[in-house]
Amino acid sequence: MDGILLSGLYKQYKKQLDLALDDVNLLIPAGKITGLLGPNGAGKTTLILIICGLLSETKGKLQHVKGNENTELDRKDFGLVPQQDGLFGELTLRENLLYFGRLNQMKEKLLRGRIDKLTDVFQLVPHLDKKIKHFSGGMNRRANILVSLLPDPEMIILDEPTAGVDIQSRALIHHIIKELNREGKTIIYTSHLLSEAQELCDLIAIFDHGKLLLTGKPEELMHKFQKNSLEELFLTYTGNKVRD
Amino acid sequence: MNIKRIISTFWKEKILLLRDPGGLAMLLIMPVLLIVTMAIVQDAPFKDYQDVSFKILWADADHRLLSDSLKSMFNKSPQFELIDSIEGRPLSKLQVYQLVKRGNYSIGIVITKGSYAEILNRTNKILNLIGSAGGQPSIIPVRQEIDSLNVVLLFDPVAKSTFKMAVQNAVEKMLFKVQMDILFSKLGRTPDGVSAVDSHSGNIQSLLGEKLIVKNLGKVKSSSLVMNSVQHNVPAWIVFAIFFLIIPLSGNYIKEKGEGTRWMIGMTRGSHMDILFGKVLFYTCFGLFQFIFILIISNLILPYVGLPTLEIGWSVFPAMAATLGIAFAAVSLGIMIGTLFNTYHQAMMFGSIAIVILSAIGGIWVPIEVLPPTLQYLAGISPLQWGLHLFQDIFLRGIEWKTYFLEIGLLLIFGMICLLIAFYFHRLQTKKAG
Repeated sequence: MDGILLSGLYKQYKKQLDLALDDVNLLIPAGKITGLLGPNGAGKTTLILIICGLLSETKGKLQHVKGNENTELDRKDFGLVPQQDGLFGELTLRENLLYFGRLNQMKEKLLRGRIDKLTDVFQLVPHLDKKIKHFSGGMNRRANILVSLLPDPEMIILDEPTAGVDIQSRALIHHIIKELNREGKTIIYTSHLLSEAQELCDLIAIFDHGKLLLTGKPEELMHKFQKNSLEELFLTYTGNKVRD
Repeated sequence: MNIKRIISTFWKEKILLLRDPGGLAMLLIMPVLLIVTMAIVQDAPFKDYQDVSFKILWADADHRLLSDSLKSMFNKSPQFELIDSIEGRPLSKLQVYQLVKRGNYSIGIVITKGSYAEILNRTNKILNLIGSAGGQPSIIPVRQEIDSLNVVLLFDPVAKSTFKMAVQNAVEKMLFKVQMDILFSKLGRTPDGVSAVDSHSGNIQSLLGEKLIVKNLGKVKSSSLVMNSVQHNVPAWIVFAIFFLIIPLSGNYIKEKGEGTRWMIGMTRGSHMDILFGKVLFYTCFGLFQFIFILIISNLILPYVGLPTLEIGWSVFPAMAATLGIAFAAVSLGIMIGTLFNTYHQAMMFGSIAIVILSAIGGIWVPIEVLPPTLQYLAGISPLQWGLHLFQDIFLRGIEWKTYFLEIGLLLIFGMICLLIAFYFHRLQTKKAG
């Protein structure tokens, strides 16, 4: 199967005894939606940042698998929507889009075309010339996703894309994720909303304390472990103890 | 390196700064206010005593030739302004004592009764001595006992000793001149002494009036150009203002390091060095704009507060090139601070205190010559001192191209080192520490 292969991945932060990632082995299939699930501090964001090349792993290997060939990961075609908003509040949406598009070395005509198309898809056309600091939470998340899609990446990594957004924005984001997947994009997605993950993901990976506990298709896992919901399965594996 | 990324960062920084009126005011308006205030405050200390007019209270109880001569000399001197009456009534000895003691005036002179008689008696004694040296008997009647002269000089207790000394010397010279005038006029009336002394009087006077040989070391750009508070303060505070770029720059950079933006920029295609160069390019150009703006506005305002304008002459382009060097050093330092610190407040505190310390030891507040020897030595490590020295070379001493390029080179090397440190720590923070 084509995708991204993580083998024996470890991460230890400076001055911390516990491992942030502890021997993670996982194949993220190309063209599918993979959900990385886990309580706070499970290591999901660390894993995402390592996949994007923004953090270095302490030990282990990340490879691109295509057919029988394993090659080094090329991050040029990755798009990331971080957990925290990453746009400049004092700039308008248009200025942010132009800035990030140009940083991605996009041709001016192509960039403007993508801005027109994506702002329409994300229903942000009326807000193009509004400063980001005046955006609502839902608009802000949509704008962040929009920026990451500008260069039309092959793989899109979304770190809790629906956290703190209203129902309408969430529905729109779900729709867009499905559409992108339909276009053949590989999507890695983290969330605390397990019903959302159950609805969207082709594959889920449950993490806790940096370890990969469980991986598989949601329906198959529920069936295998005889659970009625993903939430029930999740609590069985990660426990009821509240995390900081 | 990618030009498109550099230019788009330049464009983004321009918009961000233009939309920050507080930041703009801090970088453009505050330095102008600082320059005008400091130039006014430091105007007097920078002036030579010859340029300053001292008000002197004057009480005369003698009313004879000595008082008249001294008064006439004081009135002729632009250094002194005599005040001999208040509300149309002549000042008394007691009034002068009280006014000076209270600190209302710094200097007072009291000519007590009998002062002229005493100076006359002394002169007659000298004449008799000259006569007896020539074999003649004493022909002028004199009083044998010598009284003190009784010209009393009063100083405010808090007046500086150098100031007291300068005034005392001036008054002593005047008294000496009065005595010499009396002496020569009497010699002229002595029948036997006329030919003997007149033939030598030119020599005596020339010896008395012989001036010190004064040499100016180094090249002075213009004989009319002197170090005044404007020539010191305008370049000094422009250097300070340019280095103040550190504050908004490091602050913005730290905000940008906030998780979301950091990762968004990190995911774009290209090197982080492009982002740094884009910032450096914009803020360095802004430093040049600051220089031109502050210079023009200061020169427009300064004449209205009774101060001269900064003389630049034909050094505009070398000054602009120097400004670019100074701005580059300042901006790179700002980026380094923004990289090394993790919170906005840490960077603000460190940045502002660092600028104040570097400017204090760098001769921005007061000329480096008046600093203690240890601080003068430390001044060599302050990039603000390098910048100020460069401006002083351009505006006052005249440019020596070898030194000029050396000083700009020093600023550029400093900036490059800061940028390399920033780049190194950025990589370290992004890749390792997370």
